[in-house]
Amino acid sequence: MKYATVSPEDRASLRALRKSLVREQRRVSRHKFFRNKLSVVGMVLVLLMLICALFAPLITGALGVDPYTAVMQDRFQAPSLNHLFGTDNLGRDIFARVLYGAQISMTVGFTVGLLSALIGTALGLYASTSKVLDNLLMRLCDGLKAIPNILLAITLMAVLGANMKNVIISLTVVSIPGVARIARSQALLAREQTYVEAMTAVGAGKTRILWRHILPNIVSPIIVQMTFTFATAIISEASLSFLGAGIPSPYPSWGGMLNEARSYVYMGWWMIVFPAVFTALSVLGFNLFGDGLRDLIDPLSGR
Amino acid sequence: MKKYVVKRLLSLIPTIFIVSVVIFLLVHLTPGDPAAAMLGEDATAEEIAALHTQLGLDDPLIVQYIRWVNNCLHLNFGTSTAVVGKSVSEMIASHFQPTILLAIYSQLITILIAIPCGMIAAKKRGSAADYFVSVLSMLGISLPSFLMGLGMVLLFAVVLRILPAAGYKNPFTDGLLPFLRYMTLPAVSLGFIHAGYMMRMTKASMLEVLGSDYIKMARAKGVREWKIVTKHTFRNALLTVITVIGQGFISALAGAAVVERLFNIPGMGSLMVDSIEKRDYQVIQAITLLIAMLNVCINLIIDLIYGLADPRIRLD
Repeated sequence: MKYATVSPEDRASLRALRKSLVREQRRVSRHKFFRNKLSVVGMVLVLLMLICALFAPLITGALGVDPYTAVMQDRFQAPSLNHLFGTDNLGRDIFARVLYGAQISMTVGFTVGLLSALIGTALGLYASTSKVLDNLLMRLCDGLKAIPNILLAITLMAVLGANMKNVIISLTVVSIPGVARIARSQALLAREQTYVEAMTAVGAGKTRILWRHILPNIVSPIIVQMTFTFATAIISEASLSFLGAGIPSPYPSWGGMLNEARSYVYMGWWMIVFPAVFTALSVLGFNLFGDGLRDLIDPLSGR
Repeated sequence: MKKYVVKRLLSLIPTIFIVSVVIFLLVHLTPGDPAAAMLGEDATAEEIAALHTQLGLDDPLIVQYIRWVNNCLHLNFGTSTAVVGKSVSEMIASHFQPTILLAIYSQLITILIAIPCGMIAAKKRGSAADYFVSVLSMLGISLPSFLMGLGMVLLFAVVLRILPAAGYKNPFTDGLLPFLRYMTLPAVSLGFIHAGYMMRMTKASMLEVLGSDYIKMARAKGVREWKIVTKHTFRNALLTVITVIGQGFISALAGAAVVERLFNIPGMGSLMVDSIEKRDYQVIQAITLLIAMLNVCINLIIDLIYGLADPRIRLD
């Protein structure tokens, strides 16, 4: 028996149809996303922070300031045209330090978001394939969840030592259980769908079904989770650096700057206000952006 | 109910096992000799060797784990490597009080702010008050506690000069008023994050109950509106709120590390942060274990309350 064949013309028109459907769907989503004022605010804040991070060397170069140069006679200067955000206890320019701080925060946030999404998804997907693995993974997640995130991160940092690489490692470890849970529950749902049965009937291998057919169907909730991980990672990195267990001193991380400013609260408000506002705005931005994305894929949640 | 309690207690075993293994292994993850890492760079080879044998690092990992668990069960968390001769349990005991009082106080503030706000937001949906509550809860969720704390220090201590910027007063020896003066800023900054979350949850669960049939029935019977909100709705929404309070207590204990450092409060959080610099791993290990176990216990209590309050939960 011969299978019905699809002519190249049919295939082309099917592809065109699919393309136009996808385009329509995207248009509707975009419209829904932009109708919500708060998610637009979130997106603008996120873009702003990314621009600060990407162009930090260019902007500070144009203004002739540098985040590391300490000028002792310029200590504790209030904001002025020379130093937009003032100077700190060592006479370093706070504007430059805040922009370079954005670079650190965005790098940590992005790497942690991406790594935890990749590892968590892989774990969740494989957990959905077998009862034994599933039980093992879920018990491990329960156990990790019982240790409050910030304490787990502090303990890891204490053992590993304070530097950027270790901040990323500890925050990734802390974030993986959340992603793995979502990936696993979504994969279990997707597994019940008829297309998976159809693929099995056609004789597709397990790995192929997992990565080519189930993965694309669970990707959106994971992306939403990623934006929230991003926000949490920024908070955690700032908290760790504030405690002196994160990014070490000469590097201008926001938390570290606030830690130094803590001793000089009576000397100058600008040392606290600018890094604090940038931290708060970037976290707020990612949270609002994530809320907007979540409403798109699941209109029932949140409201 | 008995069956439910037994089932719930049995489910604790794997969780506690994994928590203990994770916390135990953390210290053994150190690249190189943990004894050398604890003593720092200027330790002599003899000192390292002495600590090495004292910690029993030559035994196989499993033997070390079993001995550690056994010691922990007897509340023996080892001796500090930074403060000579002091046992970790003593150190924790002397730092315990400020943290617990701070957590309780911050939870009280959270409850007093969040529950009325959440109720109003649910009742007057779509109004300016509702919008204000959404913004407030979003801010609460986005502001790390130390930013909130620094902001309040700037405002209340530096600009207005009405509250002290840092310090701690013992309510039992120094009096309640000084305690409140010193602890209000830390408690609010610690509670604010969770207040945002609690507002959301209160609002959501109130809305769910307000939409149900028995509320319609109560309205049809002519029950007064405020009575519907306080008696019929809130009591049923309370279950969700209890969970959130339990979680809040734990997040206050965990978040204390940051806030205590900011306000110079001599609690467990400060002890933990100091121990990072001194590489006093056993203190860090003990505090993390203690709070994780408290967390497990609080979750157990919440689940049992749930089982008592809602018979449907016992069935599955």
